Amino acid sequence: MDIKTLLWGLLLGTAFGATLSLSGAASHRMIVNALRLKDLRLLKIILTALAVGTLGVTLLDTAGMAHLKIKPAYLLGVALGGALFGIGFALAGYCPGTCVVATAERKKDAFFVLLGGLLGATTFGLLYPILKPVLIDPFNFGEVRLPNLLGISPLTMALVLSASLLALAWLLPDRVGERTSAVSSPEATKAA
Amino acid sequence: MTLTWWKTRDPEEPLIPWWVAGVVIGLLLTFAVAIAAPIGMSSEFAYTGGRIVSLLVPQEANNPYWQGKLGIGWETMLVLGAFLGGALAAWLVRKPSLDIPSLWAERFGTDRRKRYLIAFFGGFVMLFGARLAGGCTSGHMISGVSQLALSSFVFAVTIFLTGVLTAKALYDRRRA
Repeated sequence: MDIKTLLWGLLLGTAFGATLSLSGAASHRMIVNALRLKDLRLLKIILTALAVGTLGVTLLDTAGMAHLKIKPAYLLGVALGGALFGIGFALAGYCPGTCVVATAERKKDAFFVLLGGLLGATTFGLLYPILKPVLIDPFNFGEVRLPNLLGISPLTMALVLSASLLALAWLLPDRVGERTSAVSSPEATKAA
Repeated sequence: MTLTWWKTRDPEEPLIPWWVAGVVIGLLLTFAVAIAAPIGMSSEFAYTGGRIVSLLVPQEANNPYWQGKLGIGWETMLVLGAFLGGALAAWLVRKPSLDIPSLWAERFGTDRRKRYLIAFFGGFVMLFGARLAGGCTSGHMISGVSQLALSSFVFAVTIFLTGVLTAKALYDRRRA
């Protein structure tokens, strides 16, 4: 990859990190309350990002200008990995990207998520030769895209999906039920 | 919806509305796909680990999982950028540092070792799962669903299920 593209990557990553920081997406409270289905703002960020992203990526693809990277559908490994990810996500309260951003924001627990994550990803890499025939090779349907599966054009699906996601983001309330996140001052939680 | 720029002292509250963040992330992804590749964060964790392991055990550089991928690549730059962006934003808005998240402190107390241990364990399970599934919230969910990939829809559904169940079990179960 040439140096110019790499520098664009750095710039893009910086904008991504800054957005995650400013939007509260790198906040433990916002992430956990999203998983508790109490504070839906993070969900609304994701739905909006997906609506814009799906439309943007599909339009690029239609114009033949997209660098797609479709993840193969090895359903057993993807489902099992997703299940483990969800458990770790709720325990950590940050995702892989946001633990990097939160570490940069000087949230100390996020640094431990990052360290644990480094060890977890490395462990998977070391076990990969053993796990591949068991969890990745079986039920591997390859780079399947939903429009092919459903027999509709990607553009049609993108339009319908984007409109639905956007409508959902707009209709969902910011918060559900009582205000559970007592807004405690950071000083109080720093007193430990 | 109020903008609380420059004013908030709570490091866990947003400073920009959700729809601004959503639109920006969607546009960044579109831009990324136009110039090089989708956005991903979790593979770099494995490659960084692979670099360290290969230094200690040279034959591990031949592990097919990271062989030929240990140089500086697209994901390396994205992760470095994400760190820079988080630091820059936090510095610009004077975001206070945080030892223990408020919600955790309310529920499990202010013992730092306890929080850091669970954070480490959670990170381990999460990234192991991410590498098994082939991506994370950015690579699979945001980038993958945007490409209408079947595997990413499966991933999104399973993390939602186990994530919600685990969070409810941790934070919404009555103490006996």
